[in-house]
Amino acid sequence: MRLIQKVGDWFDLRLQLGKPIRETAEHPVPRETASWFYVFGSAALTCFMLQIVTGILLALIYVPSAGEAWNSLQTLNHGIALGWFIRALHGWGSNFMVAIVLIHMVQVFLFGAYKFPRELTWIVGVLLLLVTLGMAFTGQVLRFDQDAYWGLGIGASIASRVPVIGPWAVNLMLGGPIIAGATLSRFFALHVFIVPGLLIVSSAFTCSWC
Amino acid sequence: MSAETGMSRRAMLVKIGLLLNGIVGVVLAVPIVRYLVSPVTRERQIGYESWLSLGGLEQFPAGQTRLATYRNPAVNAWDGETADIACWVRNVDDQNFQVFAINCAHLGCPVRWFAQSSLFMCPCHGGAYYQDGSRASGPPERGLFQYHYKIEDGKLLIKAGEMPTPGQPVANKAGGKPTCA
Repeated sequence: MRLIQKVGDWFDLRLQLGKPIRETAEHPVPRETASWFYVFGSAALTCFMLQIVTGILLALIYVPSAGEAWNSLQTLNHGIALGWFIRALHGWGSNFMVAIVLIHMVQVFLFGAYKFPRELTWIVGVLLLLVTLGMAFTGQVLRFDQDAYWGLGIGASIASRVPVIGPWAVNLMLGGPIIAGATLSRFFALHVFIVPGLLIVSSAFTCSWC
Repeated sequence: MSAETGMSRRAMLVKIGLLLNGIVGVVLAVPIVRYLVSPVTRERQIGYESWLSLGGLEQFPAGQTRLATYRNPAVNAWDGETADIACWVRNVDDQNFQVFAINCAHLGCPVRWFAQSSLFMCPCHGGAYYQDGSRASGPPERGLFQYHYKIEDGKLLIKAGEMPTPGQPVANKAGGKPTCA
């Protein structure tokens, strides 16, 4: 125990993180806020962290190729120890995350927590809702099964209705004129690099502002 | 601070909270670790280390060393060309054979057979082996890895399925000793 204390002190003397963390944790808050209504922000963040961990685990096995995505998921389900469980955690975790983000927004709205000086937190929070839905949609596509294929068709039909640039938006989304291997590759990049990047940056803002 | 226990209500709740978090953490960590280490702990796929045909004996004339390939016995659908693995077959005298792994015993680069000099040579760091696979010169500390082999119905079969590495010389069960027929 003494050794852990000494190692911790060595790092803290250089990082200087202990004091601000302690101050944040012990910051006095009004008595009424000691309530379960305020749990949904942290719950959404917990869901997101679980999604990051299980997502990385799935990426160790999953093959982002139109020809092999489904096969690699069969291997994941039947050939890897507890692969089915990790996959189920990620799939159910995504549903829970969307639900909890929605509940969190309803709570913030009903409690009037979007008002001055927290307007920007609300605006970034709306962005976070869209980004979370983006994660759910791009993640579903990665299975590249019938659901994914026809879901992409719906997405393309919606994108095509954007005034003026609709047809270009469809080609940009699909990575070409039609749903194919290139579509899966770009949805993999969106799901694994681009959207999570946005999610991490914007949730860092809302978590530190609240 | 309660006089009886010496612990405040707040400290108690913090401890209970930490305990609950710890339980959830363990419940998640156990399956995650099992999943992560499954390449080490899981049973080998069906066909691993089974007898694989390198083709008819007529492809391997006596006194010569020829390149052969075999299909990895435990493949995934997306393995591509990595499922085909090369090895060197030496027909000593039509009775005795030697089947060498293509991997140099130094760092695993593919060795090549030079019939003119009767040497296997490695392109990476100059490892060289005599025709019987024993070390001639260079950094490898040992001879080439060898596969078990047998002859059945005029075909040469080897036992394979794992990459031979110096720390885990699975393919070298036949090495060092005279090869059985």
